[in-house]
Amino acid sequence: MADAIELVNVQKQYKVNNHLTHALKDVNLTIPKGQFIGILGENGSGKTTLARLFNGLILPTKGNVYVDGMDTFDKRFIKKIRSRVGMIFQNPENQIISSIVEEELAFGPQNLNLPIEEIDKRVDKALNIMGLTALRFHATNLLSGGQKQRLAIASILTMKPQYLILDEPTSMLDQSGRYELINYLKKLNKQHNITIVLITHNIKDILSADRLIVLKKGAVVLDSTPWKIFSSPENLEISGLNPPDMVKLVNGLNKRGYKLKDEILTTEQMVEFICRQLN
Amino acid sequence: MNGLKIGQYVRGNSFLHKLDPRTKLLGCFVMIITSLLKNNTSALYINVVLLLLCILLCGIKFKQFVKMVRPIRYMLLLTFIFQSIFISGEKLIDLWVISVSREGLHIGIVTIARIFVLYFCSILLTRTTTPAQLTAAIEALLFPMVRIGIPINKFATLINVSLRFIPVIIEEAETITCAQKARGAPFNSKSLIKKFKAIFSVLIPVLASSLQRAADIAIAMESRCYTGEINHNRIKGLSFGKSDIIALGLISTSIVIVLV
Repeated sequence: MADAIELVNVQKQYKVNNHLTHALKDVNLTIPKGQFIGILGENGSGKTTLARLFNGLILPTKGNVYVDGMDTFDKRFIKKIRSRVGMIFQNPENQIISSIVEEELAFGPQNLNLPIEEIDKRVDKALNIMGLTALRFHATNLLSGGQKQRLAIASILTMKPQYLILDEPTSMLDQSGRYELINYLKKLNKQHNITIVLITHNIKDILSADRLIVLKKGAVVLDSTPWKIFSSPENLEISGLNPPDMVKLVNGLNKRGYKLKDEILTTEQMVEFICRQLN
Repeated sequence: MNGLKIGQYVRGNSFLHKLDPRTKLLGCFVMIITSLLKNNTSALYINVVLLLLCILLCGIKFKQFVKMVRPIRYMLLLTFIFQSIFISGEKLIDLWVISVSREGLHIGIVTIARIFVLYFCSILLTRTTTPAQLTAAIEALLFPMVRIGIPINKFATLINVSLRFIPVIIEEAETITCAQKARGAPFNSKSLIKKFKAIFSVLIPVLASSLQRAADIAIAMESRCYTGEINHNRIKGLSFGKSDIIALGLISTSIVIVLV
């Protein structure tokens, strides 16, 4: 039971204009600790609904969600669940509550009623991890988009989460901000052993993920590694995804008789592969 | 929109920054009340002197001070002129139909001093106190009201969040104004009705998006364990020191003067 987020036969229905719509149909998922997971899906495929089920912001119509064995239906656990499962939203502006960076970070632990010395320690650490120490006393409305999104993550880190759910965090950032944020997420996953669940539109964000989940019309249609999903034509057909350019290149080369055995998804991996061949 | 706005917290190390936020809040409250009381101008003038002292202590240079007064310069000037012209009494200057009376001049000066006190009390308070400190102070001072069922802690959070979103909403209003101008909204029309309609074309989208924003913020706060409970640790974090006693002593003199 423990040490994972588990969705058991989860269904979620919404009533829109007296008309029932199924946002999620019978989803069974296990998110074990330590993984970097990407969730892909078109608009209206149920990604956001799925994200909000993870920390009990919404409750399933049928089925149960367990966080480390705690049922999200049980109101006694709700603070524990929410401090373990941190949530980052799309718009960085609308999740920053305080005017000063330092106070923003203290908001979560304050709600957990922690003593001030402990809050101070956690704020120091989170600022350090997210590279915001220099901005500690800065006004939050003067930060850039990327900095705001990093601040949002830092202020979740002060609650010492085990899981971090990010709902399209890069969609309002520019290229460099997006690249930087993904690198920070990788660092959190590798160095601090925080499970990352990254929901996104952009396949570039999740090429190095351990596991990819593809949602379509409220159901999980694929659950595999990025390479397996992007390199097999059947999987691409099922998911309706467009493979990254590098995968197209590798597939083309393989068709022409060059046998590339490696799983190459990004330019960096390709460069590494070629260098190895030359030696 | 990236400049420093009036009412924004400025980090510093001055006497005022170090004061307990409760002292500052109480001080502002007392100053404003004593300044607005009728027929007692000595307290008002003492408050003005105290405030000028605070501005000095805060390390605000003369140039900055002038910049702060700029937005209200016309208000000050017009109230002074109107008060001094329209209040009848012993005539000092008599030019054709315009006459300035001694009483008018006096009331004009008093009004300016009052506006000055109101304006600078709030500016100094928000300049030297972070919103969270302010929230804690409100929570601590009004704590007894929780007993009679008034949710002071929620009220305090409300103030904190509104302070945070004032600049964001102003910025949004500017963007929408530009967007509507680009579509030909007649902001510069001479007809008042047309102008009024143009203003509505900004007001309604701003309101709609603020409601959407409010829903987003509520979800973000909820997922960070906000439940609306009273936070005792936040109040405990406040400390009352020697300088607070001095400051309260100074302020209480102005009360004494009013009462005597």
